[in-house]
Amino acid sequence: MSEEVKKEEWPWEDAYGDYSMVPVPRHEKRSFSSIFYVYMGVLACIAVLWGGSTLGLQYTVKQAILVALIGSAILAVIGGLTAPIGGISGTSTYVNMRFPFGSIGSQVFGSIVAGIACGIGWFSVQAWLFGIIVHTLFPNAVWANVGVAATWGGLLMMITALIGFRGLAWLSYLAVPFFMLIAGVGAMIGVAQGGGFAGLMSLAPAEPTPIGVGITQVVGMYIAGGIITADISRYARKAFSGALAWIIQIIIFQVYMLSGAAILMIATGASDVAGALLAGGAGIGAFLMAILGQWTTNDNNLYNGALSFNTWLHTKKWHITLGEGIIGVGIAAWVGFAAGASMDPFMKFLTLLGKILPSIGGVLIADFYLYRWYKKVPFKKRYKGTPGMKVALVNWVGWLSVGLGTWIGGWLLKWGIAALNGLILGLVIYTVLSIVLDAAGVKITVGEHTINRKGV
Amino acid sequence: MNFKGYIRTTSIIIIVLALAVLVLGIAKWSENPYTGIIYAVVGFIQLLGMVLLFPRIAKLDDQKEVGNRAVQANWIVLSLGIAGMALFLAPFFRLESVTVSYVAFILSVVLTVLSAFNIFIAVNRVKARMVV
Repeated sequence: MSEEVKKEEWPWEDAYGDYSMVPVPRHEKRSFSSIFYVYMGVLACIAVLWGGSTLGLQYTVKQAILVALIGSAILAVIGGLTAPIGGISGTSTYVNMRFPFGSIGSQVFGSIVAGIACGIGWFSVQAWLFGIIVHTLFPNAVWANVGVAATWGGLLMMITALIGFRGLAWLSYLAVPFFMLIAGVGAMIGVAQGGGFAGLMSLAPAEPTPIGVGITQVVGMYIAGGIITADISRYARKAFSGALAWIIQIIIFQVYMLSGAAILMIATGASDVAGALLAGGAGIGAFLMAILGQWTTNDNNLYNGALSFNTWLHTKKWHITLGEGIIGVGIAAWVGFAAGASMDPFMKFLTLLGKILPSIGGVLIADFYLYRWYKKVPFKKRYKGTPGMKVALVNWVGWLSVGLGTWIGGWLLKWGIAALNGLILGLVIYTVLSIVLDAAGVKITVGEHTINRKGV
Repeated sequence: MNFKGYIRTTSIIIIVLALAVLVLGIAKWSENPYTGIIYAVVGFIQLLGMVLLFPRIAKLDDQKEVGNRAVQANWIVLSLGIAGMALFLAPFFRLESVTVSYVAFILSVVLTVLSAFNIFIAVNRVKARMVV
């Protein structure tokens, strides 16, 4: 393809790297399997196995599988709706947010939920947790001291995020089949220790838990991932391959991993997966699971965080990744070295920030599928930007919908799944308000901003 | 030997080695089905990935595209090879016959080295993408 043709088809300039502010060009798009592997890389993490272990402590095998299936089906629908947005626009979640929230809205909301919460907050929590796991596995080694392990683990996780999408994909190719096998080994250790399948099926928890509680846990565990699917699906060659990849990984592999961990817990009665695997005889596999599981997830935290910060920090994306990573590793190491320190207050703060995300997802889905449909924008042309295009500074209906959705869904409603409540409320409030106000001739946007060739 | 011929030859070697892991799994099954199934799954997936590579590259003339597809197949062998190396000598796999564990471990080492070398060759010789 000649340079002239390239310029004609792709009028942007990738000034900040990894197409963080501009649509991914055609020649950089990836196959279905690449997208699938990267999603699987995010999924293949210890947090999912912990989620499964929690189910194992609350339910029988059949109930745990049922809960995993229902929770995963809900997540499949959410991600199945958000992934095509990235597939069609070719841009990240935070750039897409310009449409329902305005350019200032995309900077504010993106930075809160992805930048501060994921890129710095959860990154440091996961690096610290990595230190805890490594220390549990090797309690006497100096290199496995919580602070030391959190430091080298955090730095490892930073490397692939610094490379960008290629780095995430590379690691996922290496780690995902391995991780899937480890989940299978965990299940087999559980079956062997539970006295075979028949014996395992007869085991029941001391205090049974309602099914709804488990579904809430499964959905809540990964709803953030379901909302920011566009960060990866923007690289997909076909508009819907991101959605397909997401649905398959959630419905088949998340259920498989949750069930594997649940079986291990039901059989052993242990409280942590890595410890149970080590005690069950998985050897170095348990250690590699800890490394690869945290690594493949946490590099995505940094990656998504840097993408969101790039909406207002106009510098090379890797500079932001490096900055976020150093802050995150610093926090993890500081907590790790301070004996007896806990990250509970910090995690509560991050969970609080995360409460906004479902409503943001609901508004994004409503704007892309319903409001643009009402405005008669052709499906394949929605969220398609061009240099010189004008976007609002603020879409106040989007802001209001997120505020109301988060407040009602996260605090007022005492039933249902809090994250799902927030998402549905954001979707309904935005759809009703934007269409009614538009029909009444009330302007829902304030100010104007012109997008330049750099996507800024 | 041209690149496609090289990939075909090494793929046949990988298929034979993966088949050996699969046979070990089947042999072990009667003794301990829980470890037997893991050997069998590792061998089967590596085998399947490589067998499917043949029709996928059969009609391709573009060396780079052949390389891209070979890279994809070899990543699976590599990842599961590392998993085999990490797991097959672990206590859970050595409950009964230790010989099977050692043989499976050695096969995993060879599969890992061969698949890593194939990826290296594909990336350097025909400029295939490391992630496709």
